[in-house]
Amino acid sequence: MFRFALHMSGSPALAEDVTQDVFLAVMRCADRYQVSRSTVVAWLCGIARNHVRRRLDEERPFQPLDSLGESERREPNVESDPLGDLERAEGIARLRRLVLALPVRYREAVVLCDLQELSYEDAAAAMRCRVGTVRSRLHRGRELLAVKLGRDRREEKLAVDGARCAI
Amino acid sequence: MSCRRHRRALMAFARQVGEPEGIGRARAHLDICAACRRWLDEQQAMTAALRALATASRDEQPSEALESDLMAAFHAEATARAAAGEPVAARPVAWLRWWPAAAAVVLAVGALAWWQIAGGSVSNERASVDSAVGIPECLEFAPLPLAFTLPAFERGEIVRTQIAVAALPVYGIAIPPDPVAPAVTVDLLVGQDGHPRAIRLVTSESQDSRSRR
Repeated sequence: MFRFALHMSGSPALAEDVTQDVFLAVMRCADRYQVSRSTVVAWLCGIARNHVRRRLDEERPFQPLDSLGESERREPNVESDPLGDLERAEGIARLRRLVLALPVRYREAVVLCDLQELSYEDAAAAMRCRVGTVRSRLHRGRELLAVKLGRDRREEKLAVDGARCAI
Repeated sequence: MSCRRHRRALMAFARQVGEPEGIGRARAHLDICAACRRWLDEQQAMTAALRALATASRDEQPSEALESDLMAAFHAEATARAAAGEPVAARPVAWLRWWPAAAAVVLAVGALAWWQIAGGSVSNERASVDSAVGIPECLEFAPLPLAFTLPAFERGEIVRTQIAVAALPVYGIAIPPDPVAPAVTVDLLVGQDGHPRAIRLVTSESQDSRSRR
């Protein structure tokens, strides 16, 4: 629950609040769970999703994906650390920022299906929509991520090439 | 249009979620469509990247304060409910339908094993769960709050321990009026994963009946 809320919000404090809210809600409303409608994990994720969405609506929303370019662009480090671990860590951090920048309806599909590894059916139960809707939102979310990642790589390459020419 | 028709199967293939329907035709389409090959390469790379993020995220844990805050909130909720005479935790009726049968099976198996260890004869007399462990003298097992969120009960054991009287509401038991001791003896029904599913109080009468057997 904590990791789901963290992936959705990017805020450890918010994620802890949501986690606590989810389990208190379970304690109070456990009799509302129906095994015929969803698995326990999907039910819990659905509760967490509602709490996260409510908190995100109350607080400052994340920048839309397209506007990330200016604020997130960094000067390429031509003397980059050759260690693969550092590159992987940077890549993971970048992907985390991009996931957070997705519109919420695509972000929750990516987080539930690809990061929390829920099935389409469980994700649909958590999102209270049909399986086909989950598929299409996941599809669109991943395409947005791929486009942005590809654009970032091309911009970095151009900047690095430009820096080398200057040297 | 043809590319869109195959993208659903290709997405499932890229996400490695089994053998998707239509993947045969989609693979044949890849042989003639460079755009879809590039798209599939991108999505397979995206899968690898997202899995790396998911793996890296497994190290992210909430602060230690969260667990203590949550337990304090549970205790406060349980105490308030017990004081108001309400059930400590709402329990789903559907879940309750199967667990008594599972608990009875475990109790029967546990009782037979105890009977054999204690030197009792199993083959010449009908082993009775009730007479072996004195169930009529003990309170029955009651499911722990939130035990229904655990995996299905497959096998387990009964663990006897003592818990503080003040902690009884956390286990779904109201604090008795005028408790004679600060702690009580309980039996916990522990599942295959080491997590307890149910609890029962052990009275002094049931302890005596076991010692005489």
